Amino acid sequence: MIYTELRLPYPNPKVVMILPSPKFKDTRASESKVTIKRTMLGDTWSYVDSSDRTTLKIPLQLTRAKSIELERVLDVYKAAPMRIDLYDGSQWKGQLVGEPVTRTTTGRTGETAYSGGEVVEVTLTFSAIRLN
Amino acid sequence: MAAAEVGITLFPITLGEVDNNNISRSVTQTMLSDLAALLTFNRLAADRLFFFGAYSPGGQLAEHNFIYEDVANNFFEDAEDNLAGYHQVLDIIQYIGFSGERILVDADNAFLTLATDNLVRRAYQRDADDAFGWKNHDDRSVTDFTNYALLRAYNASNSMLTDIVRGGDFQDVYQFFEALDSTIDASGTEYGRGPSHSVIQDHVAFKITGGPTCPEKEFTPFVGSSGDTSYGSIDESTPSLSSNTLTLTYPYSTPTLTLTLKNPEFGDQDVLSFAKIDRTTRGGDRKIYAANKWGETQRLQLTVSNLLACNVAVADIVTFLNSSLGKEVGLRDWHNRQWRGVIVTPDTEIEQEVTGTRVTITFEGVQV
Repeated sequence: MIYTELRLPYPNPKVVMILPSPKFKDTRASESKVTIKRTMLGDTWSYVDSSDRTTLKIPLQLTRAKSIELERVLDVYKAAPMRIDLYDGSQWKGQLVGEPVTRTTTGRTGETAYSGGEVVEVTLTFSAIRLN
Repeated sequence: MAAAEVGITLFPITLGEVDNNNISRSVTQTMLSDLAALLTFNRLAADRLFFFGAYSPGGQLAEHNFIYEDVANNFFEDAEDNLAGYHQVLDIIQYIGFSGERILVDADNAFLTLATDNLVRRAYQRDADDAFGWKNHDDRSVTDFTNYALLRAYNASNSMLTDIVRGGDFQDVYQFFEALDSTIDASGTEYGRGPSHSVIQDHVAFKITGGPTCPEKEFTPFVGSSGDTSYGSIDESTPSLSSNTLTLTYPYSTPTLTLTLKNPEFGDQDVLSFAKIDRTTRGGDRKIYAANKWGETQRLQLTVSNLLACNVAVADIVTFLNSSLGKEVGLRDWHNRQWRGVIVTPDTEIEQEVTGTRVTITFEGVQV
């Protein structure tokens, strides 16, 4: 898969949105937490708050028009569970977190109806559970 | 919205104004940088852009390699290393379409292998002069490379260039020659002949236009239904984006103050904030909820500089900010979209620079 696919809402999608694959430096982080406590006698206790969820940060470079499309979709499905298919074939069930969603114009591209003439960068953050 | 027809096209890139009588290597490097930027533009595009440098003493392409990263530096250095007698070809071919996606070059043959593809076959059959514009190779009239992709070749013969450009249905091909001819005659007096070589650096820009088989990419929003009773409907209309100059007006209705600025510098931000409830349950489930009627805010952060050119003084900005303090203003952005909202940073610092005024405006509002 060479692109990112959002199917939403999950599990019965009404909309599929195609996005490019993320730029490098996309990240995945477990949402599990560990708290370390030391006793007076020097023993170490670890308390685990385990989670099967992963935080996905997906930096994207879009055209202006595509970013508007993304804005419109997020406007409606901002809290919807969705399926996220990534470039490596992994499939996730997750929701958009990590707001606000900031779009930054970084440069120009050709002036067409498709591009909107500008390059826009945006990072989407999802809290997700891997499906496959 | 109809889906875009599958076809061959190139992502248009803006190379800016280029004086063809003064094409220099630095300009070319800039162009390559633009192409490299295009590669990273999104990986979707990168997967369909093929850069290959090829060199061949005999005129036939013997070797090529794909360069996906840092093409500007790698290729340029590679090209310089092999100037003496070698041919360098940089090609950009992009093949668009989610269905029927195929690679236009394979690992062994430098150029097209899709002879069975109608698009390519048709290009083969076209008369080179007419199809590729060789008759106009002295054309000096093209100064704007907007919507043109760049194809650049070192010492490429016409036939090689024909090979390169036959990958698409081209309406116009412009070729520019840069005088990089150099001749080395090492010892002509003793042996009557000497090693020599000449290098010609060519620039070719070509434009692929729409047509029955090569439509330009259109705005094609999401796939599927926009209607969902649980969530509402998505606006499917093509965004209307045209050119304008950033303008602030106050009051929003029947404005009496107008501040016409320059368009903002790159790095302007458009921040979307949604009202949502995000909770993690005791069992570890993450619950996120939002209602359609819950508000959302959109904040634009725009930095405008060099306002000397548009005769905007510090006093003009201060007057506008003071007059509109906390009140609704109108903002027409550089895409000619009208917004209404409030300037939320009236205390922004207005800098006086050598080149004029510089100010960062943070605006929160809605698009009208």
